[in-house]
Amino acid sequence: MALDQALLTARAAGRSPNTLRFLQFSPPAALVGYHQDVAQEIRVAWCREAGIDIGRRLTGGGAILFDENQLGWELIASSEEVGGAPFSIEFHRRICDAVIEALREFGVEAAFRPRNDIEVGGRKISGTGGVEEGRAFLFQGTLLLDFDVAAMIRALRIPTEKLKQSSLDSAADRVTWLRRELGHLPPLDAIKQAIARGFERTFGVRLKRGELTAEERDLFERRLPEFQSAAWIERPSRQVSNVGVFRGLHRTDGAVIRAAVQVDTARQRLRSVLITGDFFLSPQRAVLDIEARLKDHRLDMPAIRGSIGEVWRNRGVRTAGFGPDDLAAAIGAALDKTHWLDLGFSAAEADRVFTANGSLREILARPISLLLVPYCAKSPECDYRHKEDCSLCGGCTVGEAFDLAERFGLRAVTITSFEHLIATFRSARREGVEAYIGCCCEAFFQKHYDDFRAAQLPGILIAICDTTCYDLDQARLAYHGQFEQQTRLDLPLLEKVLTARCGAGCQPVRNLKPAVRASSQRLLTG
Amino acid sequence: MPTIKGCEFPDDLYYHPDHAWVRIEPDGTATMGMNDFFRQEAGDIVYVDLPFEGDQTVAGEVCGKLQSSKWIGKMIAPLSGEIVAVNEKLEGDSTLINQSPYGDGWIARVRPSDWEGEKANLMHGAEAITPWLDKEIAKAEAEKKK
Repeated sequence: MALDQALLTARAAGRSPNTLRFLQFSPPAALVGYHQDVAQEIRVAWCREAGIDIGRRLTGGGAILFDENQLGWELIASSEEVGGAPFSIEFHRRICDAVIEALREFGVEAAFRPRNDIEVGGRKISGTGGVEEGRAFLFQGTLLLDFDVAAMIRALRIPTEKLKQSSLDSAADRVTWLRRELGHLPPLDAIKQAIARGFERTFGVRLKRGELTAEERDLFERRLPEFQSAAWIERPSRQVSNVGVFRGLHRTDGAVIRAAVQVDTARQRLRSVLITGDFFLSPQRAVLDIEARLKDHRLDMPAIRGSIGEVWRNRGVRTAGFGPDDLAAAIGAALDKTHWLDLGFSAAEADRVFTANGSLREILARPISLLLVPYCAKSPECDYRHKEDCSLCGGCTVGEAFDLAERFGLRAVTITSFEHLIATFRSARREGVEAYIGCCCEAFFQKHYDDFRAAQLPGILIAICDTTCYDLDQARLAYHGQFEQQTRLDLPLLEKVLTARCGAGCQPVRNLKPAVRASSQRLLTG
Repeated sequence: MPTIKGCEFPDDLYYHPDHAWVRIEPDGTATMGMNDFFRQEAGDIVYVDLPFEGDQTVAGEVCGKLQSSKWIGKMIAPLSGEIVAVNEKLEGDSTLINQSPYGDGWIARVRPSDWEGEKANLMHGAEAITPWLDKEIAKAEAEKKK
């Protein structure tokens, strides 16, 4: 970075020529973009342990792990060499064209994707970023030669779902690298020569190998301490960020769409979206193009819908059974969870609560009179395992949930099978219940998404802990009420949700069926 | 709002060739921000590095930074003076610059040190702006063709 600054300063002063520079890092370095926060982007403790240097770039962009798998390329030149306004897409496109030329020489069909990507088949092969100084600029990119997803997620804080393999595969699938495209890696020198030729052709110039000038070396040495200092690397930002990851689900007849959304709620930005699920969409790369379009997007649903629609049209997307607004709906479901943050919930807590038949705001405005809990949270030995009610013996989380329900004026029911759930929804609607709170696992909700919707009863659902029947591949047994393991309700979260909604006077339930047997003894076991 | 070549340029403002605008307020201070051509070409602004109150600005020199996507561009001060206010709302939502470049997206307010002297260097009115804008657009078009 100090060398970047030295070259840039010298160029801006007109005392150095336009320069193409290549760089690599050894030992590896984890670098944040100029405006990013180190603690939020980088696993600092791991990097220290692993001997990975931490630094901050002069340019914008995201956090990267820079090791021998990447080749950095940089153009330091005066802005008028490129032409056009430096902040325009065309300026960046022109510079990227040089590297794209080089990749094409190797037979890789690379292309520019606005505003900053060099991609192959929709997957990013080089990220870029830039900064101006005076009438000069530095534009840099990192070309992926090879890729080690494990190394990347160890060093960088990347939102991956509990490090599930499918999630890592998704992350790896958004990028590509030269070795993967070619089946082998050409010698580093051959790659650099090709890129140099690309710049020569794109700008109509001849490049000559050079060395640092005395002035550049001097500038570098004088400024190196600054770029190694904590003040630079930890640069406190005036703009506080508050980044969390929220997941949303949306289903149609033909598609299951899942969106994992990284949101900065303090700065009102959608930082990134990962779209997965089960759907047919052609061309497949359009999903990656939509994700690229939504990077750092304004947090505004109409604008998000508009951007998705733009890419949809530009790429001529064809699908089976869903449209651009369905993608937007999955993202909307994720963003809806951020409302919990206003109520004092953490991002992790907020992500564990989802809704059916209404947005969070809509449902919280209704009286909530029913609590549904799954039988799988009762002990397999319990007499009440396959019964609606509970003796509150204190032996499992269900008893405490029933207790909480009573405290907050809700009727509690244990759901003993899928059919029972549907019947409960029906009778609740007949009784005039306006909304419910339920505890269920996300897999159940996803599988029965349409049934929850068809029931037309607004509900707030809290994810349950531990291995569910779906994880154990026993969903069919559970459907019939025959699953024999025990799960756990998230009681602290349930209480928090109840307090948030019902703290101030819930309506007492009409036609209350006794949820608690009047004659039951309460045995509080340790 | 007067439009020149598809970009809005309110005619009560003064414009610097590096894309900043100036509005003289009734109390004699000068509000500044970025013009609509910049808004259209730069895309969503994701970070703003605002100057600080009390800082001096020098006409033609950098007084702040604006990041759009991964490009960190500079804001060139259109006039000299002392910063008396900055738009801190931009720290919570930098896209105010995109949504309202001449209104809520204002960047800073300055007490000018030599307005009468410096305003001659700024463009004012369609007659002055149009030839300059023509050239900016021509440069952009030329780039697209390359």
